Amino acid sequence: MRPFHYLAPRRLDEALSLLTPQAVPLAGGTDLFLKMERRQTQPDTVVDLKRIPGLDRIEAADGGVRIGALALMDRLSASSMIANQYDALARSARVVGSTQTRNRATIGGNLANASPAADTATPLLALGASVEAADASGTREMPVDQLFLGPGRTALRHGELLTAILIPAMPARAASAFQRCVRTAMDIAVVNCAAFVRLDEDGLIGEARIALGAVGPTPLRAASAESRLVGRRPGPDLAAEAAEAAADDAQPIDDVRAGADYRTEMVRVLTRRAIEDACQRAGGES
Amino acid sequence: MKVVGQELPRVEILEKVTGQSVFGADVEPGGRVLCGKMVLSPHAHARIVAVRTERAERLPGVRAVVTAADFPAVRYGRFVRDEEYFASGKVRYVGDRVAAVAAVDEETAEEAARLVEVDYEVLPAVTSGLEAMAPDAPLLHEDSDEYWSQPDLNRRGNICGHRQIVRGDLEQGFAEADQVFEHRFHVPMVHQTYIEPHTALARFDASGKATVWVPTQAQFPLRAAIAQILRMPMTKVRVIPTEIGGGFGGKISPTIEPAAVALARKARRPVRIVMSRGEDFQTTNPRHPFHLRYKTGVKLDGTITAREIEVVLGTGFSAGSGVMISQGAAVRAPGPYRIPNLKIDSYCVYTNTSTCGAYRGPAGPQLTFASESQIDIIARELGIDPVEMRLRNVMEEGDETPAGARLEDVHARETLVKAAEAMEAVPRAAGDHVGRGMAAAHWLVGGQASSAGVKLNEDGTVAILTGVVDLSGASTSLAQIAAEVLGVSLDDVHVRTADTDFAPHSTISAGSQALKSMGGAVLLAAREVKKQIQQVAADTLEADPADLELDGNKVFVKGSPDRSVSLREVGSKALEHERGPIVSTQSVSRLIPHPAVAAHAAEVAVDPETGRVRVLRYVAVQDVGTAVNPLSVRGQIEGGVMQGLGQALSEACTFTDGKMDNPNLLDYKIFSALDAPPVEVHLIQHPCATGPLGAKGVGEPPIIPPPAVVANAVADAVGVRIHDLPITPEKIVRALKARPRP
Amino acid sequence: MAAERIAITVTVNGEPFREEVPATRSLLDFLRDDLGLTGTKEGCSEGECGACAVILDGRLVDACLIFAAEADGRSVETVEGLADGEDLHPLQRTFAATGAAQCGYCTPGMLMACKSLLDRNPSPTREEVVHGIAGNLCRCTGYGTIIQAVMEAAKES
Repeated sequence: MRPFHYLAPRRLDEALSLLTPQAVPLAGGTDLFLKMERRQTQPDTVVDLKRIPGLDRIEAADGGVRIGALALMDRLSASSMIANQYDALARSARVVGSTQTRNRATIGGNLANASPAADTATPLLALGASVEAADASGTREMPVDQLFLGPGRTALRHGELLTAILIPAMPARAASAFQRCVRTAMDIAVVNCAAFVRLDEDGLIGEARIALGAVGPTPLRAASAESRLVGRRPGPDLAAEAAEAAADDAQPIDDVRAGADYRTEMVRVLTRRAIEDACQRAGGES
Repeated sequence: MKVVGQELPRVEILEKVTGQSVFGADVEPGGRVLCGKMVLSPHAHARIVAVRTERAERLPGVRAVVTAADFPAVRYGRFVRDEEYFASGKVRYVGDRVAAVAAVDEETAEEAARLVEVDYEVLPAVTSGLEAMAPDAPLLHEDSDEYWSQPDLNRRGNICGHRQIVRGDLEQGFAEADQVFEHRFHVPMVHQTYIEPHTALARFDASGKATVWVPTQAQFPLRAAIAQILRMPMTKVRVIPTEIGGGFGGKISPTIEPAAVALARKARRPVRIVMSRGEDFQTTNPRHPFHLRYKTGVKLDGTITAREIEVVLGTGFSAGSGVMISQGAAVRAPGPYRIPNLKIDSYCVYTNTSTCGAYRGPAGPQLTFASESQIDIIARELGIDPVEMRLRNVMEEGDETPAGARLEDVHARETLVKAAEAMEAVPRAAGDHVGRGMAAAHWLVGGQASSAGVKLNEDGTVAILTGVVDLSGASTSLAQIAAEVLGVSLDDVHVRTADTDFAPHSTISAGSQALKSMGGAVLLAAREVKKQIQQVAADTLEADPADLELDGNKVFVKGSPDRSVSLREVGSKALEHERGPIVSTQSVSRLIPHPAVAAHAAEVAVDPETGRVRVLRYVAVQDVGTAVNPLSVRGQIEGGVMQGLGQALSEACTFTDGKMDNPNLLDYKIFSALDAPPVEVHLIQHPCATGPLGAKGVGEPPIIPPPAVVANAVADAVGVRIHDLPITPEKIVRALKARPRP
Repeated sequence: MAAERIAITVTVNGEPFREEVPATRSLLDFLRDDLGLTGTKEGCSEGECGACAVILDGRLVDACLIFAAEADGRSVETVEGLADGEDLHPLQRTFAATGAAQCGYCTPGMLMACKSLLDRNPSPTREEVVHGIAGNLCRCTGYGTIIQAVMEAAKES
């Protein structure tokens, strides 16, 4: 590993002032450490964020939840505030790596690392979440939809830090669901999928968001699947029809983990299951 | 028996659970240790045009750089002398050794390794054994005709070994058959994936002696190899085996040790090399990939009339032990069955990968996957219960191997029946896509030349000296054997694995025979010590030595337990006695192999949409002779099953352009606790004629059946047959989609 | 860039250690090379095998993916601190008795994973034990005896 300066500021503004173009922020380090070891990233300064108080807070905000970027996966998976409202997110946090990884990896790191297979990214896309980003000049909010640009690339600017995730309140008669498939139990997702549905008073789907992971350069929304759902009554045929559309939205590749054909097929299976699960728990039939 | 047969914790267990055991990377030899790093080929096949080390040598902190120029021109290899330690003319796999560096710390060593400049002229490469046999395939060894080799290997082109076995009349056998089935199978390379990577620490002293601390399964062959590669006498090479963090056949052949010695000699400082996980995956000795073709003739009642078998092993860039493994494969290929008419061809073929080695049960899982999958296919086609089909053909006492050796202590039928019964004892799980499968395999375990010393200490305790590395509980079982003979408890026996300078010659800890071989030597030595004890005690007790018995740390006159003397007294008296200290070293020679049979059954549930297989139940029955320590025996079986299930469902080294796609534990998928089913173990115990106190070899058989068992269970669950390991979700989904709709 | 050294104080098994380390030093190398605590093992250096698992401020972590500097002011438990003098931890006793350690290389990390589990959940179900050790690979045992050892240790304490 190339030598670097290690800095552990105690205040956010101090951290922001240290984030020069040659510096990288360090959260859990489960991705960054390896990238540095393999010399894929060779920063001259590492800014450890873990000494900044409050950056890991999980709190109610505007009826929804505000999650500090440094919140551990383990805390997310154990949080009743998350589990009560955002089933997809709680489930995804539970399957990110081992106990050791969940005790170290943070939600902010999982997003900022911008892996197409990031397990918490799809639930946040489906839940309509935004991220809060800060730099020396102030903070801004950005929908998670706009965060990912490509593998390892985000819309965060140099010197800008992802500080929190904001999830809107869960409407009535709404639910989310998460599905993934893997090779063995401890694995990064071959495909993952999150679904959000809200039913209107007639029991028709009023709102739907479907997100897919590991089937494109970024976690992505399955727009054509979503449009099939809105205004229609939940049921097995509808879920299958939307899942078929999701398969068209996916742009998978072949890699060491799976072939593109299998991934496309898994998009069909997981999307259908996620929709059925979300609809059922939202109070409708499936 | 009082001690043998007991489930006793391992003798070294307290060091292990307190973190005190000294593994390869934990050794502190004194003095500042340099960090060594290998410079490895990035190409699967290339001509070396030039190697320049000057920039690396000039880097501050670098203490030595070695290349082929620092080594004598030695070609080595047990069967074919086709290997040179550092590649000189050509590199033949990604990871082939080109140079090594030693520096004051890891960062400097890594930087120095990068600064060794090598010019290559890249050549076409081939990683499939089948493709390497083609006439137009790239030739790995142009000069192979000039290599020394053992006789009758039938080498030609990339083929470095071909054995053919013919028995009976194949054509006649097929003519007698009512149906003939032919199938092809493929098994990819898999890796041992011991949790401790390869390490070596070498010191070279002023007298010209090299000392190497290394976690090895085979200290004596390793010493011989280092001596041969560096042209040193064995007196100048001392191999000290450390505690070993798993081997499974992957820590037998030399890897980094000669480089560590050469670096230490040049730098005049101790040098440690620790392989990264990626290096370990790409430069060690994994399991051979196999292509297999099985053609089998059967009568309608399931009787097998003939089998024609062709197997092709990709051995890697050198023959290694592949020649021996392919020869053994020819003998075991038909499975544990009596088949009157056979023709078997087994080819060992050079490929552009690291040299495959003797991974636990070498060739066993590959052959059994093919053979037992096909038995299942045939049984289903003929409408016969697969267990019935196997029992109809199963080998019995006195049957012969395809090579004509008579088999004794055969318990295949009983083992098979027990596995079937144990599976049937529990009702099938509910659900639509649940299936069951079974498979059986035999493994021939002999013994190798070994010697051991046993002595009685002055306080009546017992010490055993061997050179066999404790890989899977051997030390504990050896202590149990000595304790049994001498009438003491396990706590009174101390076992020491000494190094190559001090230990009498010992077998390697591989091939399921460490205990079988060394146990025989310890048994003989303990019996001799017993005789000496009886001699000394006879004088004290004024009795005939033949009337004396040993038990409870005492020697007593048969029938008169009051007339006794303690071993403590005997131990100290012996020093004054005319016969002197009580000690014996005994040797055993090779033992003829006996078949150990493993029959396994599994119940699986398959998600037909995702293809995910869950193993719900697993039954493993094994014919083990006398289980000297059933705790160790069960542990071996459970662990072997889990490795086998990994090979069945998730493990494979895959290659693109000669480069391994997945040299890390994220993408090379071994089982975690979440994947592991409970394993139900049943032991079939009939003392074996040649093993010490009746023990048979145990370690390898349990890894052999699982791939076939799972393939058969998956076929039962969802009706598709996977011919190519591992049985991944992706392959199952593809097969289900390809199946004609009813 | 010259390797800058950072002064850190880490409490290991109750004892504070003050050392100067380069920023690149991992917590694993710090424990093994700087403090000579070689009980914690290196298996993959990629956070996949769990051989280097230690407890950092009460949480199980893989020491190979953590900079030593990140542990400044924090407290680490390793296998060397598991026994109380001569008294073995219940897990050490049950690991020995059930055959949960074979080659023993995964054992230190595995023991720490099991301790961390029992610290939080003194009477786990089999399922919870399986999840608790899922990040610790063992190639010898097949896990059955390890799970049994944890269940028995839970009963004991």
